[in-house]
Amino acid sequence: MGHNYSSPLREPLITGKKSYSDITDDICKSTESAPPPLWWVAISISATLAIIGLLAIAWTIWQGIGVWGLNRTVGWAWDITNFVWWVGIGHAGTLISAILLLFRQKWRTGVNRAAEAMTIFAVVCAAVFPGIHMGRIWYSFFIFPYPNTRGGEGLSSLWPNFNSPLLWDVFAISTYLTVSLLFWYSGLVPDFATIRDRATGIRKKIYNVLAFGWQGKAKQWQRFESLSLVLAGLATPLVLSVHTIVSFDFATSVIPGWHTTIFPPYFVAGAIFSGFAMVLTLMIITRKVLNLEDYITIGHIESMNKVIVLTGSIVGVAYITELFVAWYSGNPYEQWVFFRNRIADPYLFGPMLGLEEGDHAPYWWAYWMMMTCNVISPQFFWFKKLRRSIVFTFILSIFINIGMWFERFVIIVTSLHRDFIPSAWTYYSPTIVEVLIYTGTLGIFFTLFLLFARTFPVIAIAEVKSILKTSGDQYVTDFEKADDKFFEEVESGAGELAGGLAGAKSYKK
Amino acid sequence: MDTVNNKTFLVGLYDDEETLLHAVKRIKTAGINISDALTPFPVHGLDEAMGVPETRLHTAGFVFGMTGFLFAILSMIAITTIDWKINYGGKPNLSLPSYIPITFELTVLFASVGMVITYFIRNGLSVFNSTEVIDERITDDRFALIFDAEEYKESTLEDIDHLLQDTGAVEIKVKEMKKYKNLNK
Amino acid sequence: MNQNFKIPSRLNLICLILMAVGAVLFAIGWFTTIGEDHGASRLWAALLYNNFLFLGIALIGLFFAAVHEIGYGGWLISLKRVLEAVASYIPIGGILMLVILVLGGHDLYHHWDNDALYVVDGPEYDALVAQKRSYLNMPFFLIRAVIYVVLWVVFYLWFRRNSLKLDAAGDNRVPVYKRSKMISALFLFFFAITSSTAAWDWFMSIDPHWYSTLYGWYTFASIFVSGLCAVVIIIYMLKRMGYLEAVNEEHMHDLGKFIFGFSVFWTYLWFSQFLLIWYANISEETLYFKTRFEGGYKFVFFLAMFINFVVPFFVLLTRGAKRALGTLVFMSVLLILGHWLDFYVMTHPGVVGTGAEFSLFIEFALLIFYVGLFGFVVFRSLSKAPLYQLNHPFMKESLIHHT
Repeated sequence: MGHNYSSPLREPLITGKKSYSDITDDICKSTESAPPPLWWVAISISATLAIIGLLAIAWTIWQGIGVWGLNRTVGWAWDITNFVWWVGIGHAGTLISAILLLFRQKWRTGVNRAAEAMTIFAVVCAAVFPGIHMGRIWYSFFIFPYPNTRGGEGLSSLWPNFNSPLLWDVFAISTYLTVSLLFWYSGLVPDFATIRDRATGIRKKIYNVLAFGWQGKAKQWQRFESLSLVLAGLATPLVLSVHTIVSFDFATSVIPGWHTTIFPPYFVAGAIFSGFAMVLTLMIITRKVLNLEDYITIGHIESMNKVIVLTGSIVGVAYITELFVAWYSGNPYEQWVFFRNRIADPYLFGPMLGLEEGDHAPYWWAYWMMMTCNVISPQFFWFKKLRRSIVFTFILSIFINIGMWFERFVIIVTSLHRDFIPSAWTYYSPTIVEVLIYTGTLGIFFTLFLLFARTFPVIAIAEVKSILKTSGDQYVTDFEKADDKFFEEVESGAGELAGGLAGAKSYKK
Repeated sequence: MDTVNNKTFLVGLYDDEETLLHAVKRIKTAGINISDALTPFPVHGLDEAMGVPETRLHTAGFVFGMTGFLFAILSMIAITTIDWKINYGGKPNLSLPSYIPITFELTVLFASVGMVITYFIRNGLSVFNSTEVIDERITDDRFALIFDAEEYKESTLEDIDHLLQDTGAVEIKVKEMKKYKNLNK
Repeated sequence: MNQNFKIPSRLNLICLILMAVGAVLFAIGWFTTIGEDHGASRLWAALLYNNFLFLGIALIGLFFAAVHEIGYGGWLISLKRVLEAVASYIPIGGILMLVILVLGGHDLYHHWDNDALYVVDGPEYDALVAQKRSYLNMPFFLIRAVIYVVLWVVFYLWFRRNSLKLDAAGDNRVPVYKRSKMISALFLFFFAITSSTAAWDWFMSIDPHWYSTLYGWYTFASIFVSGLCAVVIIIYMLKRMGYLEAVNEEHMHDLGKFIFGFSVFWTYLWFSQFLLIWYANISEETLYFKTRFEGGYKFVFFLAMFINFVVPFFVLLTRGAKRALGTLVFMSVLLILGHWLDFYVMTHPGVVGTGAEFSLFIEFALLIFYVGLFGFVVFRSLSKAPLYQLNHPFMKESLIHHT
């Protein structure tokens, strides 16, 4: 088939000479066997962390957010950092399944399912933070605009403030969670059917419910493809809008260091960057533990590393743009935030800026941590050898996760801690409660992911099958031979393209 | 769409999507209508070869999206200019730039949710469906062409049988189904 | 496959006539306007943005080819020569840019190229501008401009040379192709920086008090859409002349998707910049939009928004529209005009500031001239090399491309 052609110069995406039923077997295996001891160890640790985190949350709600390290000057810190960090991580899944679908990147089929799952779990973790930060969480439903009796006289209701970016956030995050879930689930249905048709007993009953009675009819697939494409088209601007709106939380204000117009696209690039780092962290382990190296190949890892170097560089350009424009603006507050509160370390830049000893930026270490992890470290991926090294990629992905956490910390805390009046200057440190809530969300995240890895098809079975003929290693032909024959045919006007190039599809003259 | 009870189907199973596509084309050229095709993954060009009309799901998505757009923008305008005029930060009561984020989100939300619900209903997918399947390997590595025995003459069925063999079907069988919804009608 | 494009003499003639008509009209405009108040500023402003629009289009030709080269974008290879031809305008556009900046620099950037602003305690002393003097001063400004242009020209020539080498490479093509990937990666690295800094220098610095970190990316989005539109128009013309039969509905569909998607992306950046400045309401920043909401600019400002977002969004939403060559070409012409208007409101209010004014002898004359010049250069380049790069390892993918 002509349209199934793919250049032999492309690396195979499925190795091991798999047949369709091999694919089914390999991917379903993890849902059909008992988990290994290591899994039990991992889930015990993460569930424990989750429980401790939940206790810390309960303590926060019971006592009030005074148990955190916040003060009047630094009113947002650790929790909002975590919120933005988790939302950012939650961007990779939809990016992989939606944007890469539109860009026809076939390698997405190996990782999209797990990445989407990760997205949903990350967004769940993110939602925890603004929820508990509201203080009186039992009134949190006030945020939803519905006709109510709180408006006083007559028929008027008390509405939330539609001018507030925080309200936009509520809409953005809930829409994102809903659409991601729907996208994910509609893709899962055919794969659940695959598991259902192999299962027996109670498992068959469970997967039968999950599979919604899928049969794989021609019309079902036709609508499936149409749905995927339109949802991808909708999810692409949606995923951009979510982190854009998160950036509006900061950028609509007049706080120096927050108010800058590059924030929307730069937050989006950073979110994709951190999301891919988390996908790499998880998938490098998952492919090893579940023996999926034939489906998530080194080629997949290299492709993701290319996205990392691209988005990392965009983020780097944005950092430098911010720094330059802070100087260029001529605005002393803007300049202060960047030069005195961020980059002025005690050793190099502080002395260069003429600062006396001890006058350096209190959070200089956070800024330089961010710069090193986010801008410098991904540059190693310009080298093919490093892009294809699993150990190196794994270490770097952790670095990026850390760096992106620090980015949000730098933006939030360094912009706030030195208020306009020096008497209000302060230093923020988290309390143990805040740290435990954070590790608690990590626990929730990994618990959910571990459960997912044993019960769900971790790779999109049907989608991988649909690229087997173009990207399976047994179908890769000798490049020169295949091409030579083809072009001889083109020139002689025979073969596949007989009757004019691309036949009737071309426009009439 | 019609629900047929206790139907008998002639089923031809293939093990490769390209063989299946050739078979569909051959059978169609022989002037025989194929009741349905079932595959483990979407086969490019199968709906066209089968003569399945194009789906209008995306049009439904557009309509849902427009509904969400109008709902969001009109309610926000009504709320802030009629129901409860509050001055926020010195901005005008009607602050259209501020409404754009929420309007966008609701447009996407309505379009997606509406489309997915439509998709499930039109495709006959629900948690209450029974497990009845034509062949359990169809979700693994078999591609099936099925023919509703009632709709063909005895002689045509024999022709189909031959055609299935000729076009490389690895297995041909007769299957009774209690319920089968044909979506192609 | 018709590999050799011969410029029809009529086409060459049309290009030359357009150039001549544009030049004559502009000469009339020049001599009648130069004596007026703000006359010189207006003339140079028109030259600046017209020249930059076409230089930007040319840069996008190279950018788009480079992105696909490193991203394994196989579908595009059958129109790679068109992209190279579009990029072939970079040297001429770049040199003209330098000429405009050298000769017109003072009239264009009089908000900062004025010694009186820097006299401490002088009547015109401007503390804000004085602070930026180490960056905004004519010598450094021109050095930067030369660096940008030289970088772009060198990368174009290098890319093109390697591309021609690939045609003759025979069995040795894979290493040559890999070299092209390396050149592309290097170009993209430098372009990522210079596309922003050039926009700051040439357009943002017109209003030296004003700043927006998003400005560089916004400008990039504008030229990106314009560049794709130019590619569509050239493909259409080649097809009308009976060439490029291998480029079919599928390729146009993809280009259409890019135009649609990046028109939305442009709007996204437009809105992000506008919303943040509108919301925060800081006078140094809102001044930019305030200027554009007065003196007739408002209509142009929103007209550009309407053409660049609303029209393509609804027209190109359906699959059919993206595959219909006529619709796509119509939208492409309209979008280039829309971005032409957008560049006008980026330039004119700051440099001239006397209210929106369009003249057949200035703005339109230059548009006519540049269309002619651009067409002349692009078609000449197309005639210099085979229309398809058959030796490209992904050519086959492109020929049997199916979305």
